[in-house]
Amino acid sequence: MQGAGHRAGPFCVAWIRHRVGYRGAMRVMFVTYLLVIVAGLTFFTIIGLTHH
Amino acid sequence: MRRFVREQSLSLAFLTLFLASLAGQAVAGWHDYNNLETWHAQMAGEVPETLSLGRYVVSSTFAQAVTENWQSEYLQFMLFILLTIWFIQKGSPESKQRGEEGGESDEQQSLGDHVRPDSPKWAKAGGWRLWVYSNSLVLVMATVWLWSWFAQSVSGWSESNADRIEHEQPSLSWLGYLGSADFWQTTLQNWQSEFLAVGSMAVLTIYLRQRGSPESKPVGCPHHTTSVQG
Repeated sequence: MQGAGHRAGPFCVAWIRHRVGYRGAMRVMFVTYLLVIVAGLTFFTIIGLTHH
Repeated sequence: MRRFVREQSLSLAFLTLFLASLAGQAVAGWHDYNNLETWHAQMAGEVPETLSLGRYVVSSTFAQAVTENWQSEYLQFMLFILLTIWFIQKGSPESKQRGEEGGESDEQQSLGDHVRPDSPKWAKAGGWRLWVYSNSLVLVMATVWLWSWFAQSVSGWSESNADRIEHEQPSLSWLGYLGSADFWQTTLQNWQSEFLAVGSMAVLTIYLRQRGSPESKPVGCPHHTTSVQG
């Protein structure tokens, strides 16, 4: 599941490294945090607005 | 793999702690909700309407408990970022030096004639894009704070009206809930702790040290030294 030349590691980490390189990993963390925040806020806003 | 984890270790550690704590809060909150519901029903001689864990995590009770903490954290950091532009604390590594208050010069901010070849694109752009990028951290923190405060208000409103219906009281409009004691009690109980904690951070770091932490002055640094990190 990993590209040639990659050392063993979880598939997602190998994929990130293959796709974006080490400098792109900062961007991956940035986007991950933004996605967690936006997904959480969307989820909890919908719960409140739909009177669960 | 090792290099990736090491270079992102701070954000990975906090993301892991966040997810573990959120899961723990969901399980503990679910037990607490069902315990209270059971005791309530026993006192009233009724059958308790307990919830499954899956139902609890999509309840207004859980949504309010999470978002009331989120909003206060983002308010805290937004204010800290904003106030440290103009306010100083002598001796604190979290503060600028006296005389440096304000938005600072283009030279200090690597802008205008002082941009670097590797400066961010919008820092070189000028105009509205430079203004947006210059304030992007506070703009995003403020957006998340206001959004999570809104989520707290609608989930708290839903929760409050469920209580009111159960106790045969008239339900409130959203604006009515914004003026209620419940909304302000849940809001201010979080704000007060955040303001004390962030103020403590600014003041305790004058005299106290943590070797190796960028949040502290170096151990041997004099107490009167401001804006020097370890």
